[in-house]
Amino acid sequence: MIPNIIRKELLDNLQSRVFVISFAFVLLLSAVCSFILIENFNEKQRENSDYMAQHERVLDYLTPEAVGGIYLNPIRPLPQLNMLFKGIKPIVGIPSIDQDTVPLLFPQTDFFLIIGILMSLMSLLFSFAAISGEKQEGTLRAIFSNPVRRSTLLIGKWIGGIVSLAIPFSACYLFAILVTLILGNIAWTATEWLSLLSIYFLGLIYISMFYLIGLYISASGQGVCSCAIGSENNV
Amino acid sequence: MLTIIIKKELLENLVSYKFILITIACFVLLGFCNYAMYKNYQKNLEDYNLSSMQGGNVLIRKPPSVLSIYVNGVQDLLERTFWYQQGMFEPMDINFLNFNVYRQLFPVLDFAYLVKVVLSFLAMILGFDLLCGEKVRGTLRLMLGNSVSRNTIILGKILGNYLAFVIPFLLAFLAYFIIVQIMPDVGFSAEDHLRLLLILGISMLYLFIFLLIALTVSSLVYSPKSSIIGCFLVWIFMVFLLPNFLTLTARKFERIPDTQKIAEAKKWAHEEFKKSEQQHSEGWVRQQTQEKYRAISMDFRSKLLTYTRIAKLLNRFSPAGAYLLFTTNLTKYGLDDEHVFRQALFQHVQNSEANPGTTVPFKFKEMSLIQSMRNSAFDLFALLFFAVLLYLCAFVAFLKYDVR
Repeated sequence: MIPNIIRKELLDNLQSRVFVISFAFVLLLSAVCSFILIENFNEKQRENSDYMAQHERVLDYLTPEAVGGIYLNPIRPLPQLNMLFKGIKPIVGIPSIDQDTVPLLFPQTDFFLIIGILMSLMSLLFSFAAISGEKQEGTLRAIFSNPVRRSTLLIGKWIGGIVSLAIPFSACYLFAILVTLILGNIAWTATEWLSLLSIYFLGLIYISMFYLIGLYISASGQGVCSCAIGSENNV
Repeated sequence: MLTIIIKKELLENLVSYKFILITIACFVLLGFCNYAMYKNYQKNLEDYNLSSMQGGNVLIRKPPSVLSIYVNGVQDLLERTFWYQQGMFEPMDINFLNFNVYRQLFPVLDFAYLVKVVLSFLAMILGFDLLCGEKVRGTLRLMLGNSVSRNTIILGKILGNYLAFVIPFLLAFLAYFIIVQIMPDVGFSAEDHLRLLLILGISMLYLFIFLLIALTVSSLVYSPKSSIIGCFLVWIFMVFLLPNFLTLTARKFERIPDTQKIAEAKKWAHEEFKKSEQQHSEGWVRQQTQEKYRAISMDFRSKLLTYTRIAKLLNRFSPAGAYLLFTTNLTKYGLDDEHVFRQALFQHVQNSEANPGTTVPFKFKEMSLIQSMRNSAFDLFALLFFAVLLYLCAFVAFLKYDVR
């Protein structure tokens, strides 16, 4: 019975307008994000190599007595996955009075936005009506008139929902990687590929967690989830 | 009729789950952010007192403003301890290495962030089914069956829902404001009160804009499900993407080199002059190095200033950007305040050089309320413009709305 429920859930989601709009938005966003991040990364890498060259020149030029203290500022090479996930700015280097303050107010977007905010919101959107929506349409009663256990329905809905969410997520993730490989000045090693794979699976777990939260709200009471999809909004 | 619609909307909201959700969110989140930011303010105050005791004119630090409890802005850079030596200022290494890296991963949950992200999202949740929800339930047809104009309905709906949203928000704000007032080390001046009142006012305007966005989306679609997805997408675009893209566009107009590169260029210049020490005197080397330093710094600062100006100008085209610029300016943690403080540091260097051998006291005058308001006037106009434009959009969309 579980495969049937998964199939039904998958088809329901894939054929919905919400899915098509969200998929298009996620894809568009990841495309724009990837192009911007790659351009930034290439620029940063150019700056970094200039800086390294200049640093080497200074070190060659220095007398042995002068080498030390302030002249040996550690330099962190630019992480290869920095183009997708910006992480923290290296704190090593020379502190300066002149700093670019704009990023403090308007921080740069990275791929985390797609996983952390957009995909989590999508998970909630798909799961909010998963149970209560069926109840409102009257199909929940029809499902339970068959020999289906409640746990089976929940598991089926969960797997079906995650698979349908994994489609836009995988598509935009693969798209970002492809664009990065084509346009980025990079050389990923096995470590980076493994990191990317780990991030992908972690992303799926993260999305799944939000889907389960939505499913819980949807199953725990008709009022709350109905409030989210816009009907019966009274307590 | 308008009063009846407002009353109906208000009463409908007061017994809804959405209202409970908004009330809980306002009280819990505002309480948490006020507490965390108060602790942060206390820590900064201690650091400031410590550097004042130790440093005199050598260690210089901007005193923390009590308004930092509400808006953080560029505080991390503005409230560094600067060390004055050999005719120049540098941020203290120890301060630099202790820079809180977690802030780069997790944004500071201050009042401005809460309003900008969380409460704007809740405003969308409240407003996404204002018209399409009524259409689905069939009540919109009934309403228009009476002698009531579409303008009255849309106005009544927006005002009723807005009231239902701002009542818990204002109550929570007021409750925590009273608590903050009685905390030790906190002293608000009359000007601070006025600044805070303006921040509250602009926050309410910002939330109104997001309610208007939700209303516009709701009047463009016929099902609440489509409306909620539309609202979420618009919210992501407005809050996260638009300010980001505008800032990146500003970077395209004016490219600024990395600060590390600047520092390295200075070192290089110093070493080059040092090599010629045998032919020239030590004083000549020092003078030449300082002149070169100054030229590099001036070039960088001029680029930085142009870039900041463009970024500010472009960000006014997004509600989130304009809101952030306004609130940070009013709390004295804005981009302009940082610029003014840096100018004061440079002025101090010039004064010290002009009076060698004497201790010149460091003078820094914060921007007055009028100056802050003058700098933020465009942000305010931008937000008012968005509000009027969105209301017109919602109204026009509702005029064409098929209520059958």
